[in-house]
Amino acid sequence: MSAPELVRLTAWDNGPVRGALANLADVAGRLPRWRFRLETVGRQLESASSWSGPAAAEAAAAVIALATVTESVSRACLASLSSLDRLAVHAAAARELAEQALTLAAGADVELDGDGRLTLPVPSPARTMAADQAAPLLGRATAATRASALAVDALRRGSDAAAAAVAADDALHQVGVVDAWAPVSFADLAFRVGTGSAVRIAAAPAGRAPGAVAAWWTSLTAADERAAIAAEPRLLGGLDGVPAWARDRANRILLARALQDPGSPGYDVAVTVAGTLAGEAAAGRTAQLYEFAPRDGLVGVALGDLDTAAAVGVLVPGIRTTVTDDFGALLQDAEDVADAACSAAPGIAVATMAWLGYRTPQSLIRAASRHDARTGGRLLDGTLGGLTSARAATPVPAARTIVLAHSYGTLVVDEAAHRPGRLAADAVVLMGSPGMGRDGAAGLEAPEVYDAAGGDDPVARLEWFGEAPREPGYGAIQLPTDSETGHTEYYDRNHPTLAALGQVVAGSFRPG
Amino acid sequence: MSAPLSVQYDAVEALADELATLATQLTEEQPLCRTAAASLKAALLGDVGWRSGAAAAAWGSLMGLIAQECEVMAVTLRAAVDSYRTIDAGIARSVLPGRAHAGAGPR
Repeated sequence: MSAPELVRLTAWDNGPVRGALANLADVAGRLPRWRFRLETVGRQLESASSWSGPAAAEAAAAVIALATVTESVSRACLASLSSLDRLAVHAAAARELAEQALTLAAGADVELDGDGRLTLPVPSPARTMAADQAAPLLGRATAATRASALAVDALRRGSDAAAAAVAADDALHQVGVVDAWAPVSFADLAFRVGTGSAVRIAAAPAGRAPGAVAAWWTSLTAADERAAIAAEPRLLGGLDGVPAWARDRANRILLARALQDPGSPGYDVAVTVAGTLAGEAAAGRTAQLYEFAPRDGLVGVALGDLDTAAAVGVLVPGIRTTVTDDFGALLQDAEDVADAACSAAPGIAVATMAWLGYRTPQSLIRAASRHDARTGGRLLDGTLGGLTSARAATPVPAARTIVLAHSYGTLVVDEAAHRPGRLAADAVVLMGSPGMGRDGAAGLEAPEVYDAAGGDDPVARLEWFGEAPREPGYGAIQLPTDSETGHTEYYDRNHPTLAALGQVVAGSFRPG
Repeated sequence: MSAPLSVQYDAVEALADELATLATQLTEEQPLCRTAAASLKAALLGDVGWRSGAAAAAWGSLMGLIAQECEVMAVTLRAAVDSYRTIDAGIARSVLPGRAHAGAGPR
């Protein structure tokens, strides 16, 4: 009889092990969703939109702590699962090797010890033996040697499985599990986890692709996220891939700082933005300060929640648009488009962003060049990629993303589409375009491309920068206009284009 | 200046409902973890089975703790809304007699 260690390995049943791990993988797969939902509740409490005061602040902190603990538990369980997966692989191999070793040992009539070695030496054939006498002995010796080698491998894989089991247990130490005993209470668990932050903002992947940023962000606990925002609002406020709620908080910190220094460059921009946000808050509307670089005059404000909306519209303006002079009108356009989308698809969750995220040309001479469009295209490409990546890193379904570009803004989209990688938009709308690149609608990389050229819009007929998208050869679907639609009137309620824009945003537009 | 205090009962109760739902769903994860623990212990004889099963059982305990805290927070939020309602009603009652008295004076 060979060593019981080997016999025990043959009793390991891999089917139930795989089934158990599949169940645990399902549980681990749902944990990020639980954490996301908890954090969403925490953020709603933090916003004080429905409850404010000391008790509300305490409740918000408690729920955020709960989300932080959930994130830590999620990480620990994933690490534990990884070890259990290794265990399953080693256990399956150990069983198979042990079975082969024991079968060979039984056939050779030898026994194996607890180290896989032969308990007794197997005689080798003498040189003087005849071949027919030597062959069985040689065969037995070969089988015994092979059985021992397999047994050694089986025991090694068994040891590896044992080590993986220990590692699966150890992975839970960070959340207070000791010798399989979990903390006795949530307070104990929270104490073991530590709901404060130890985030190292230096690890923030500035300059990296939005997808990498989004992955980094989701690796943070709720407490880490808040610490990161407080420590580096300038970095996070403009970091593509960070979710909109976090950029909003970071940018509001920057806004508060900017308002403290009336002599600083961009102070007038800050005042304008502060007034805009105050107006939205007073009206009871959700507004997110997605982009805020007052010195450069760059601002993006979204109406609605960019992180959860089913449809996201990004309005890209044309020349001579500035925050101080035009942002209120641009934001009104964004609101009108959102209203039109809600009319087209009642109940749809829409977020529309007035995106003045590039320096628009301030003179006709400058507008005659693509220079500002190239810079703006890079920034728009990053913004769209950031919106998509941040959403993809959460359990929330992807949004339908639509770029609504006006006049010179259409060139910005053109340049964004020429950046490496696909434009992260489901639809592009061109309005009053002064001409586009020569590669047609397909060159914009969006599945849907629409154009609106008003009857009273001379710019739409200039073809300054290339092909007019109103021409059939360009390949854009034409949106309705009328003979009186001027260059600045596509968002006007008195013209037919606005309703169509709402349908495009909602995904319900059907060409007449 | 003191901090503003406001509460929208329905909105806070909706948050409490979400926390309660989460508590229920997290509680449902516990049996899955316990079943996995039993399977591992039975399928892998010896210390390997015990340790891996114990780890899976600990998963279930951790889910339970998070679920309990979700429920505690849901109850806390609901209790807060109830308290606000009660206090508000009490204040309204204490104010009402004065108003009624004032209204009953000579015209």
